Amino acid sequence: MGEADWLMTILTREYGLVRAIAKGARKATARIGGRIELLVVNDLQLYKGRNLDQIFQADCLRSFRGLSAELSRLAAAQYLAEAVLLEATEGQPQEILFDLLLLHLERLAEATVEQLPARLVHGIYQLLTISGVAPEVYSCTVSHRPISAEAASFSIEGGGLVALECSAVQDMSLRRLDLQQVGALQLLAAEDLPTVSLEWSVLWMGIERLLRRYLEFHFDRTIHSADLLDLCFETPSAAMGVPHL
Amino acid sequence: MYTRPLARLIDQLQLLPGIGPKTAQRLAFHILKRPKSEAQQLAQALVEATEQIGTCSVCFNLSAEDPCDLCRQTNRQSEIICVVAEPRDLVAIERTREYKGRYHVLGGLISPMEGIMAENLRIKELIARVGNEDIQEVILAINPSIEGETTTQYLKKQIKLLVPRVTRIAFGLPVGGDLEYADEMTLARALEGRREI
Repeated sequence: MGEADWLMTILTREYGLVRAIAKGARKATARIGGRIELLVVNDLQLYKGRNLDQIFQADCLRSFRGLSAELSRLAAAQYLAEAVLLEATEGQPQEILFDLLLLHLERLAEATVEQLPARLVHGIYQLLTISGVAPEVYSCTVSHRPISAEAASFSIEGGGLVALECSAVQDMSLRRLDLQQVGALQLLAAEDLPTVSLEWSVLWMGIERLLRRYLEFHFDRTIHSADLLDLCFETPSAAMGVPHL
Repeated sequence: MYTRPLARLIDQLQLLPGIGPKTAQRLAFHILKRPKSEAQQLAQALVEATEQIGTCSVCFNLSAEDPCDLCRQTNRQSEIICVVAEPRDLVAIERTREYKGRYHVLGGLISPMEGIMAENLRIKELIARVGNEDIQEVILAINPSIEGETTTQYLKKQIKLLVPRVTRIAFGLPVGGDLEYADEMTLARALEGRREI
């Protein structure tokens, strides 16, 4: 690999994760340079190499310009991309994952700063869903009793909500959730979140921390980008009021 | 296949960036073909560079002296700081001979996906400089990549209140470039950064 080359990890619909070299992409005069940035959708043509493929043409189909205008948006987008990389595999189609990433990057690019935690958490939950490891949020993972409009506990190892009456007898680490947090978790299974719920950034940041631990537990990896997100939302100014569910 | 010292030389050369086994072999044979004194000079230069070069305690550029030559020059504009990611970016800007202010080398870019955060860079030191010195403008000369954007947005938040003017270098078409062959992202940036003539 030359000094001006870029080694890229690309998520494709057709072949899953592909690692490829973009020759001379770092040079100011490179025609390919601007097209192969992070979080840009391209129509790529690649040579099949012995070890690594080589990109020789790129046509930009879509970029998410709104992301770079704000640090918290950039943090959320990189967080989502990192989570997607945990799930993505090489050598097999990843259409659902690809479309999910695009949909949620679009939503992050258009979201206001207050809406970002909601948009991110929804994207993470949907990612867990297509991975087949989404937490159970409608019934108790111990007794299987439906949970609705009530406080409950959450077990990362147990895979979701645990009814309060089962919490005492279980030998697992549980986190107590109030009625609003349980309600918010149950909203995540829908294709989109109700508009009013987008503004509950304090509530969603709490859910994000819970889902982050859940995601890291299931994929056995750390989400590095989460540190930047924490930095962006540590100030109370980013927080909005607590909702009534 | 190679005699032991030659194999060792090839192995060591291969550790350098952009040097593969073939190039390492070519370089090793070239070194051995040249007069012994040249090889000794090369070895001495390597040892001296690693022993003597450190970072400037003011701007964090690579330098054998502290403060570095650039920080010691009294004819430079001390109220302007140009922030770059790496020492090689500083060299690129110096080559233009257009900039006469001071520098600050961050030592990298914030890359959350790789776990590189602000505390791993010389950002705290930049904030201290901007706070303690009479700085009128901070120029961010940082790559327009996602990591570059993240670093720029972070720096903007941190220093905006400390200095009257925070600017960023323009992005767009390279001199001698052709509009027809420019990519959409670069053209969009060029349009965004257009100026009145």
